[in-house]
Amino acid sequence: MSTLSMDQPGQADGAPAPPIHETATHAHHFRDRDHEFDAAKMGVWLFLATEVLLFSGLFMYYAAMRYLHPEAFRHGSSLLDWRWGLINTAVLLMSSFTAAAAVRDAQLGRQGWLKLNLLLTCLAGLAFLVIKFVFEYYPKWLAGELPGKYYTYPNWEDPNEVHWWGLYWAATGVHATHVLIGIGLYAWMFVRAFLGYYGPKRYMMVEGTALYWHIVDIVWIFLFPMLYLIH
Amino acid sequence: MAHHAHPPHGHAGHGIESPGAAEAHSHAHTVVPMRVLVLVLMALLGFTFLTVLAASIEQWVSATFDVVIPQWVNVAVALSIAVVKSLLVAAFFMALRYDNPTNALVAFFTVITLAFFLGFTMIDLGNRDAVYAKKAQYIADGGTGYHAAGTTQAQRAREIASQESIDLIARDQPLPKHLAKFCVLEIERFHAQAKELPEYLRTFQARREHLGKNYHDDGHGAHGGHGALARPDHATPNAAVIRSGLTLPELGGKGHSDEHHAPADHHNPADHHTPAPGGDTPAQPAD
Amino acid sequence: MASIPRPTDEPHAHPHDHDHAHDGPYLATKGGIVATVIDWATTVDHKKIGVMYLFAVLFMFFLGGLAALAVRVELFEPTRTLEVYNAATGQSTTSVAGQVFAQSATDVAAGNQVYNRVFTLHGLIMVFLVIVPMVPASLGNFLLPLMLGAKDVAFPRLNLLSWYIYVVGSMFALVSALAGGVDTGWTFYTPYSTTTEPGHWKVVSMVAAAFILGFSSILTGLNFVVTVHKLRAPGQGWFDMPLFVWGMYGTAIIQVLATPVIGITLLLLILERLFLIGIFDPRLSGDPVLFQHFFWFYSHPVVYVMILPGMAIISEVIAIYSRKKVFGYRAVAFSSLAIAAISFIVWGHHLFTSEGEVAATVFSALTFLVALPSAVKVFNWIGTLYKGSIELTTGMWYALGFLFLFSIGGLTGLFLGALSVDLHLHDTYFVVAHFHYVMMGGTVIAFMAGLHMWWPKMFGRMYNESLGKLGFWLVFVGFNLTFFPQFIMGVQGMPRRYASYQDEYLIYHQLSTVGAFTLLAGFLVHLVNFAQSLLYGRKAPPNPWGGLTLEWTDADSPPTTHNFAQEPVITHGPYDFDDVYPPQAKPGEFTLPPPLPGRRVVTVATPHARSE
Repeated sequence: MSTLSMDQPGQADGAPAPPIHETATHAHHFRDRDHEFDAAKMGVWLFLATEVLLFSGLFMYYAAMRYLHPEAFRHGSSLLDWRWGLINTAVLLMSSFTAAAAVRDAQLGRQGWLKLNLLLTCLAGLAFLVIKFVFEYYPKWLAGELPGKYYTYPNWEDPNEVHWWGLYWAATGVHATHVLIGIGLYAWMFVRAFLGYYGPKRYMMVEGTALYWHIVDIVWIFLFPMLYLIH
Repeated sequence: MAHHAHPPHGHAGHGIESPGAAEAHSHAHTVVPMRVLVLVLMALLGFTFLTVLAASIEQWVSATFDVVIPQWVNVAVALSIAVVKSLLVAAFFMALRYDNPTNALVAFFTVITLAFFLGFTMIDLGNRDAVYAKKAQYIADGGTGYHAAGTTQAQRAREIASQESIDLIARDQPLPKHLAKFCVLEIERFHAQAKELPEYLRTFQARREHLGKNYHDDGHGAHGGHGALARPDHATPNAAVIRSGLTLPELGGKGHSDEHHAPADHHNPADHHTPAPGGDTPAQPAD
Repeated sequence: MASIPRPTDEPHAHPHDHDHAHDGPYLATKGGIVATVIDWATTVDHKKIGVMYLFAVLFMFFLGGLAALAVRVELFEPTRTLEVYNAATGQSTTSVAGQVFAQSATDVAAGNQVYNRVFTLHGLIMVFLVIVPMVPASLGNFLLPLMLGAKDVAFPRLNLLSWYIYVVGSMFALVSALAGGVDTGWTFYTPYSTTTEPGHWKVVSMVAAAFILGFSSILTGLNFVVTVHKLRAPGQGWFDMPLFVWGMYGTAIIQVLATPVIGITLLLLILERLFLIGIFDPRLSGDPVLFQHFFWFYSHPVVYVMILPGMAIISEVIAIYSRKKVFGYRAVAFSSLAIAAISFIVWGHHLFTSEGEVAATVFSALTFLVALPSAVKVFNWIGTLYKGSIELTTGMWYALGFLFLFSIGGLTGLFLGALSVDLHLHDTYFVVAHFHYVMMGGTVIAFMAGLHMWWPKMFGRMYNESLGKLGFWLVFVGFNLTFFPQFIMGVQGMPRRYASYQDEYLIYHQLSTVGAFTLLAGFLVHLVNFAQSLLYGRKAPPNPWGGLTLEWTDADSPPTTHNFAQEPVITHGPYDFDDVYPPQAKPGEFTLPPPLPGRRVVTVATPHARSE
């Protein structure tokens, strides 16, 4: 147990410097690293609360617009290809799994697995966006299935279908922005993992980012049936 | 798969819980077993397929047995499964089940707040009839308001589409799928009103018959197929129109002649389905 | 704007620096001006950030006050169109009188337009830039860690980031204002916010300002929640916390849970304006009432973000200057949480005239719940005053003023919460008077109480008590003169947001305008007082008022950079005035009343007393 004390680097003279995560200190206003970790994690959870409530506005937007224009949403929804939604859901769920596994690897100090899982999470996020852009956004862009004044898709069945596309782009756009931020964070952590930043005594960023990634995943878990399956 | 909470590495020891601070935050560093993570992933993927399956079955039942399944069933099934999935993610991937209960409390109150927001606002939206009866005229259907008088964004979309189609056909270029479908639907709309086809649609029709029915036209939808979820009765647009509660002129028993139907129809919802003024069709009478 | 306030240039030569030679007063300068500015601009010290927030907020308060005065000047006389008959030529000419915003002699509409922009600017600045951050970000930032015995808030760098976000948000607002301002009203109601000046960036900039300021508010709230949970001193249980901390905790919860909704609301509003999506704008077949739901789901809880910190301050001020244990500590503490909770289910009372009747009825019934915890607080404060050894300092005068004004504001809220009455009073001056009695008579007055009480702690200088009391009376009289007539004309039917009125309201508007300038005089007196205190004020002892919370008993005036010489240990409750008696730092400066007879009295040493 005493090896955990930061005051004892546990290294002989001339030995290579220990990895950063071994020598981490805590900020002066915390008692110890555990104290800091605990506070930081609660901070992340409060941040997640704000994220959920940010998306709550989009859910409200969806509920209100579907209530006001049910036929428009019915037909608009049928214009989405649920198979891409399904594939993307699976991709995000698996990336959530690798994110959780990365936390576990950091906790156990398994550096190789940690790097692999960080990379896989990052790549899965990229895959999500690539699928989204190549197979969904781009064709819709070409067909004029765009929000507001850019809407030029002629084959509507209800004149209010423009609202469906407004919602679709706003909801998936805000979500995709979050995915993009998550990809950036995972790429950043992947690099830092090589510098030895993360280990059993220092993995708050791995865990905090994973929590964020899971919330992004949960939002998609709701967006998928709302956009693709409810008809 | 069988890794457990105790890390095998000597330098870490059991030390994920550092000494001296165990009393308040002994939960913070639980290592979630890999077996649990894998099982949860499997469950999540399973539920994802289940929710798609449920939606498909519902559509299939609705179409095959010609029954109307109320929409709330669809919504309830889809959202219940989503709730279960997100609970799984929160409990195990996010480790709330093992974590400091304060964090679970944060999550709990977040959901309560979300419920307040959605619930109370929907109470209002669901009981707005009296308000709409007085104020509905101010809410412009189809997003009028910023275009020329009476033109909705939807009508504008058709105007643009017919203009693009005219251009492409004139230049003898293939139409993209959504425009090809638009032309097919336009031809049907013109036929339904017993009007003469404009030049570009005649050209399109001739070329389509010459090249075969698959001339850049997937029959439905702008993109690839829609799999099991595409509504079977959607194959013809008119059927869909009937389903949506709107009526085309000839279905509603209105007269076929232009001068008769246009002014009378002006405030009818079916107005939205009158043909967009194409290249050589007379523009709608404005008032 | 004085982005880097430097209240004192000369270092404080306190005699008790010896125990922590490296740990001087936090206000000490770091060599030259440039070094000091850099030090303040990059500081993560919650005290410096609190002071920077204080000065930023006071500057904005000044700007918002100017806009308010402009509004009052415009309303001093109704706008009259005069026909002057010239007997010599036999012709009559038209001119306009009583309109200060008139752009030309006869263009009433243009003048009214300016009036719309000015009152919108007043509302926007006062709500988003002043009252929301006023107490939590300045006094709260400064005091919360001190009261908890912590060295800093949980996330000091986020704290600094929050200040910078506040500055950036202010810039967006000011740039929009300098470009001519917006006339959407501070609520950004659609279709005003979607249709006025289509295509112009001003509205987007102003909405973006509110959006950005939301992040600043979220970061402050997030920081406070974690700090309260994780950084309490050893031995400090939840019910050993000062009531100020409880109030801040309730505030912070609302900030975290409500502010994201305004974020997405304003984001959607911007998208709607840019792309004409059609969410809230009826001309785009959106639903304008939906916007009101979105907006008030944030803005009603935020009403309590504004008033809860005021209540938090009053609990402290009344306890200290009554030298008496707070009556019903737990009731006051839980009522803060109750107000925070109830605040999320009553927003619909802002929509009584636009939502459906079912929702209006439900919201009206729920609205009355707010009265319960608010009344619990007021009764407990009065219970605390009862038989206390009341010391009528400026701070205490302000606290008593708060009780009076907040009671009026709260009780008139009951009229507005009653659905049937509100249909008459909606959008009249009665509403204006009500929320000014709560926001200004509540929050700003409480802020002044707290600012006076903690001024010696924050800057290490005493203020002039006589000037302070003069300022209080000017503010108090001026406030009532400004806003009480508005109740009367509101009931008589004077609608809000009009640049002119009928002659029957003339006397009320004129009284109101006179009151506004009395208010200005009062605040100027305070400004002079504070400036004089910073420059020439007596050095403050660590515990001038004999308080028992940690910032008084364990920290210096001003506190040192690391707040405490050693981590404080809680040995007594925050309000154990009956049992604990702090020694006076310098006899004769401020006479503590003797302890109540027959009480066991423990003496607590202040840092000053310890070191001598």
